[in-house]
Amino acid sequence: MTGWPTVARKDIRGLIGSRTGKAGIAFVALVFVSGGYIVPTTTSDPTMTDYDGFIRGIALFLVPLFGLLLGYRAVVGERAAGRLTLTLSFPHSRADIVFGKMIGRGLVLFVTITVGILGGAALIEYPFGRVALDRLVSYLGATLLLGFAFLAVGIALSTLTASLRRATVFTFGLFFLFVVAWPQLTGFFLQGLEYLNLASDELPNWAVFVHGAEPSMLYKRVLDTYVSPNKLTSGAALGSAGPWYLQGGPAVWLLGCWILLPTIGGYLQFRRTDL
Amino acid sequence: MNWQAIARNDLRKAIHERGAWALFAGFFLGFGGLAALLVQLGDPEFEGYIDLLAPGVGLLVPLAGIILGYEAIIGERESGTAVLSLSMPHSRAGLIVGKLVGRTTLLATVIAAAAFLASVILLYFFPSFSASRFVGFIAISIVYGTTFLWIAAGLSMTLSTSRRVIAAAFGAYIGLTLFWTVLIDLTETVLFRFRPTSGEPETWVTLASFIGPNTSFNYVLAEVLDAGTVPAAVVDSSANFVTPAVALLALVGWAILPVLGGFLSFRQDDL
Repeated sequence: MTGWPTVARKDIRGLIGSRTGKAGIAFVALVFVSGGYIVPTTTSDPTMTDYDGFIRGIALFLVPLFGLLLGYRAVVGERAAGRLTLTLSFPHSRADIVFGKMIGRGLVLFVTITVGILGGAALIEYPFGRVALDRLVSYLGATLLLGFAFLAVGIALSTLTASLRRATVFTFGLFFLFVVAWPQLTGFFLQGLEYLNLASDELPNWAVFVHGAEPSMLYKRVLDTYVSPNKLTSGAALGSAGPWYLQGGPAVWLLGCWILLPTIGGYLQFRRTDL
Repeated sequence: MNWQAIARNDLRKAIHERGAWALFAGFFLGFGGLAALLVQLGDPEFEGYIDLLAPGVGLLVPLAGIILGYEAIIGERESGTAVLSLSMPHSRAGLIVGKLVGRTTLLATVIAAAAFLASVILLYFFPSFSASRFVGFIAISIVYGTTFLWIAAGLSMTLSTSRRVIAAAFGAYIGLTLFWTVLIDLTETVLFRFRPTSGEPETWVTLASFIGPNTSFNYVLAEVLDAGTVPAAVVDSSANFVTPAVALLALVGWAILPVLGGFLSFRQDDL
């Protein structure tokens, strides 16, 4: 585990060097900045809560997509091109490659989202609004956690297969399942549990917990607790009256697990792959 | 840092070029022509002369600075002389310092010589001629021209083809002399989401407008030498940073920062 800085550095250079990479990074940052520009035109005395309310729908798609797109070619791209065996003939271990790529791409994600959100918050603060520092830090941290979670999942996916096409299919399938379909599945779960006589009229708390353990729903829960707490009363099961495991704090830890477990799992899988 | 040889060589070449002489002739015609015009109109006043000269100098001296500065490094680079010079015991910093000293001396000499010749006319025809005010005026003009010369030289170090350098240098000239205040006001309007603003302008707007080189130059002239008019952006500002010292500092900053940035990028450029 000494070669990861080299891997990370080369990875960052490759991402920033390509025109598509630059355009994608600029686009994500610009979306967050322009959100900060637009909110004060319609709201008087805007705060981070207004910013969150305006941009959450976009962020829920954009940040997972950005994380996955940053991650999904990380290992399989080199493997398909035959560079991976070459890299491994240097004194780099497989752990160097997985963690180096995670750190390099994570840094790109970190800088992009941080710059975007800080720019947006600056445009909220000046000249009309007021940005509370704790809300800003919570919002930034939650969005970063969401991005890192999908980056980790993407990198884990890229260790699974040797074909680029399959990696692409996996990635977009996962994006569709997690971000598009999963949050809409409440009704199906309710029906299924009612059929099993485990629920009546609404989902029991443990089922909400299981259903909500998906990163983008955890992200919503974190934001509803720390950035937009006035929304807490609207969601029946997510209210502050709900049990402790449906609050924001445990959701943060679960998001952390979504970062750690896929990374470790991806590495363990990759370690015993025959290249 | 063997820059003296480079500066001397640069000056020696410039003396044999038509451009430097044309510039000298242009400035002399400008300074002297305006004086002759006022004499023709009768009852020449030095006050009126210097008031009329200030806006003209504010637009033409930067142009001279840009013209003298833009080729400083890129010309050497494109003709291959830079590689040759650097194969001798000159460092890149030495090359830059030598070029800057040479070109700045040239600009100062051209303006000062033209002004000196013009002052003979002034001395003869203008009874209210004040040598100290005129010298001060010319000195500030030289500083102002040097600012633009160094901006152009900084661009000349950073960019890799002379066409880009020319475009960027003239863009900087137009943006900094004509449109600086407009750009600042536009930024303010966009930031305030196109709502009308009233009352005193924001402090940063005043500061940003004030440190624009053209505003600073005109402010120093009006405040110290009573020449020309105080720029509209700061004319009734009560902000405590609106002083001649800050204005001069802004001019120096506009000169040094581009050169510093240019040096940092030129230092590691592959020639």
